Amino acid sequence: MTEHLPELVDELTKSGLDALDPEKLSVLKRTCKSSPNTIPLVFELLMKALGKQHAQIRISSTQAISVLFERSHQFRLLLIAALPHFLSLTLGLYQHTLPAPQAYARKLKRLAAECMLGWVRRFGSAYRRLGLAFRYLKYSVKIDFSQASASRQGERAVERAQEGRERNRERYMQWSWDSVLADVQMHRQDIDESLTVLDSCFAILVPGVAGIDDGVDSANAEKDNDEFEAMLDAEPQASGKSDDDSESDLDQILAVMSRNRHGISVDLNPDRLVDAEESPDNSVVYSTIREHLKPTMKVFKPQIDAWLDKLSRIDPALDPEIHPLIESVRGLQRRIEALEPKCRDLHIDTSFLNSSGESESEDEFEDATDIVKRYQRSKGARPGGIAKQGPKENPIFALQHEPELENDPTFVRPRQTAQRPRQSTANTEKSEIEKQLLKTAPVVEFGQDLMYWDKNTVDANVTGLEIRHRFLGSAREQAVLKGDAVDNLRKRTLLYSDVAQNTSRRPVIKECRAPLKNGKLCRRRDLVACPYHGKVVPRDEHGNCVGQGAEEAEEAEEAEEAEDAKEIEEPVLEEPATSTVATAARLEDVHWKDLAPLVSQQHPVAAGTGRRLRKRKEPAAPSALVDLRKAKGSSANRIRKILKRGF
Amino acid sequence: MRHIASTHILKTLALSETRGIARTHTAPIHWLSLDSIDSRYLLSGGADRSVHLLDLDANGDTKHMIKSMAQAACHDSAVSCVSWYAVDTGMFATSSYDGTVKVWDTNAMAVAASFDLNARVEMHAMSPTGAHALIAAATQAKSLRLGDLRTGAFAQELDIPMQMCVAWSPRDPFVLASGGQDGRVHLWDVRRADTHVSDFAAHTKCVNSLLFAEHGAQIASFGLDDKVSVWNVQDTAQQAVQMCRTSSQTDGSDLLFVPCEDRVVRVVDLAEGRIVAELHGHFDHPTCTAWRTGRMELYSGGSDSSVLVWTPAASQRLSAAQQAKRQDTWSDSD
Repeated sequence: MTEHLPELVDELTKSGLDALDPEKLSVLKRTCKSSPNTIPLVFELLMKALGKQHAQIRISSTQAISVLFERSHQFRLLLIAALPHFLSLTLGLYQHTLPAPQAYARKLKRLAAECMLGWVRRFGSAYRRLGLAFRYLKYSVKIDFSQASASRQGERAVERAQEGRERNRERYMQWSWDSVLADVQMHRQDIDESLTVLDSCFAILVPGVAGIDDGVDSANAEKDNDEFEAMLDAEPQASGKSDDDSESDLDQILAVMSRNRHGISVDLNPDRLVDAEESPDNSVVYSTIREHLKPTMKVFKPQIDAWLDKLSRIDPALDPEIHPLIESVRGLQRRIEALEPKCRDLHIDTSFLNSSGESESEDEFEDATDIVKRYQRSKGARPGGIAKQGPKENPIFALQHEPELENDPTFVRPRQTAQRPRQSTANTEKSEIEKQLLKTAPVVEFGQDLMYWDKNTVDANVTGLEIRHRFLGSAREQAVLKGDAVDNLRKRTLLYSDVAQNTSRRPVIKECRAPLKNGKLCRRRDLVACPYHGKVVPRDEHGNCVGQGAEEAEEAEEAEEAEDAKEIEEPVLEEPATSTVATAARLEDVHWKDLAPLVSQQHPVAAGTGRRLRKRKEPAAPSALVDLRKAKGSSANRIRKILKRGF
Repeated sequence: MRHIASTHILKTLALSETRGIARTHTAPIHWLSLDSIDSRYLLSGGADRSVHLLDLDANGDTKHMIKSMAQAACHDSAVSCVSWYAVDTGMFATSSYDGTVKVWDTNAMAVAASFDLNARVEMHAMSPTGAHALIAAATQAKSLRLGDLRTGAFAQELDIPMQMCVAWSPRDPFVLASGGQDGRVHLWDVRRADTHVSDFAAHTKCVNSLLFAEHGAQIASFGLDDKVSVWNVQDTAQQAVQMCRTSSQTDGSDLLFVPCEDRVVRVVDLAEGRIVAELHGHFDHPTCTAWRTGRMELYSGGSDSSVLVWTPAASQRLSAAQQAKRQDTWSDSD
């Protein structure tokens, strides 16, 4: 009965999680409830756990103690007898210091204060010492219980807010569902009608297509199938397998074909799958299609998308009707989506779908497009042709790239600004000379000096206003710069470049460039040695040592690695493998370890670190506890180590 | 501070669940004094410079908390000692670290007389029998001084420096014991021209408290060396009992209540010389105890600025509400 208790308490308190494992806790509670004589043992175990030098273990222990305290009188008596000890371990009373990690130690204090407050409120009148402890904590130790109660209230407020949010969400979902439902019921009729009209128009134009959503290809195939079906029916030996699956159909077909010894070849013209052309006979049908297509594509389609979007956000548990509605709306969507390829095949202009009108901001452009189209039509362009769709441009400049614009009388092509080498119009001789000269000519960036290079007179004031310039003087009579001013303008301006300065004059302090754990290279600039990576040696682009300094640097690094490994391989707390929860700290390692081989394949940089990782010991216990030993590897420690070694 | 307990039932003393004393002091309590006439009024003095007077028989409120009936603050520094006048509860005296001993009119809660000693007063003592009106004050100064309540002036000066505690003998009214920094206990007879009777090394460190047994034949001393020693007054060379881990004073023919620094009041059987019970209740170290004769009640004050009430466990009657709260509250799902 009691043998498992130490392990249970151990697992419960060493999980390092914010909340206790409910299953283990309920096992503990059940044990204590069913056999009260185990309570002293449980109490002892919990107090022992509470004494561990780890704030997270203490938090978990305090939580467990609180749970039992609120339930068992015997446990209360035991804890109250040991109250000073409990308070010293949780609140750091009597000159006790709480163990690391500091963040959890603070949390532990808060938790203990909250516990004390709760206990005193509930049991203070029945256990004198509890009240005395509270009095002592409040007045002598000056623990701020208002904060504890505030945090309790805060928690409650957060809970309330969450509940409120949940309620709001549900209300919103209900409202959204109602509105969508009403909307769908209102518009479904129209959409259905419109789609039926379109489908029947298509049926008129291409009789076989009727009712088949998958487009013309499958329609043709279906037609072929029908023919085969007919053939099969004509076959007296056919054993009446009208409900066969496709495989046996195929067998039948093959059997028929082999018997009749004639082949069937179906050639499809990829350009004109459907042989339908607009003519005066069917122009009414076409116009009907156009008439219905636009509202379907422009109004119904976005509407249906919006419905689906809204419906997908509604919890399906809200109403059993939601799922069927989604299905039916999806069906409408599929039917609308099937329209476009049909139109393409029938050469119906669907360009309006993409070219315009998706948002109000484009309305002003719409007129322009209409003008262009009208102009196009008047010039005799085929209205039925599928408009070329370029990649979707920035709508603001949509007009600029339209090729039809060239024909627009109101359109002025913007000037070509790209600097093209001028085609020499002079004779070839001159161009020959020019070529020769160009070979030897210095190439200089264009600047102010070149601008004024060939100008003898420069207008001082081109504004026409009378200006007294600060430097260039008054140009009242001759609005021309003086000779020396013009000379000055022809001088080349050279901007000071500190890079050039660096490379030419000062010795450059090179970067360390040792590979770092994050995959980058060390950017430290030290004269002789980097405090982290030892002597600065030439390295290649991956940070590997090259040249004569390589070996010794390797050695130094090796030594450091060995030292690191030693540090790492020291036992990590004396915790048995208990919890299955991986720690955040360890998670990193796991990820990196998984990635290391992959990374080292691609980047030889990581090879070194990969090797280092292989040395590392497997993590002993997956637990959410913070590893207190990690703090050892601070940068200060590393520098101290290197100073001791003497680089 | 000092009181006699006589039966073994006292070994079951526990923190009273039914009686308690409301928070009176805001700083560590230094001294408790229970009147010797009807053991009803408790005086407490503390580091918050105030003196509180409590009626222990007062009907407490629903929570059975005794509240102080009067309080006064007249000292400039912490009150180190309070004591009732043995004959009449109309008067009591207080001493303070501000260097004064003040005599109070209880009914007016006002100071009637003041002795200025110009040195930190550790303790004062008045006659336990009322045989004389002398008040002895142990100070950190060069001498131990005796004030006369009848004249309001100093009557005598005993040439012994740095005394921590004084006690009048209940048997020989003019015999005074004092202990101090040198760890020695001195016995004086104030009527003699040569006042100093004898002295003996009681402790290796400072003597912190002295207590005569009721019969006056023995004196218990405790020192900062964590020992309680009981001496025969007539033949001081003979050491009666010695034990460890103690730190203040009380008394008894049988039991001695010793407030210890580890937050425990230890009950010491003087006859056997061993600890018979430990009272856990204070959250900081207790400094003083007071035994209520005839009621089997112990009062203890401590640095946690609380006065605790201890009663034998058998005499405690819990209220129904308390009983209800002391039940297990397992839920069905547990």
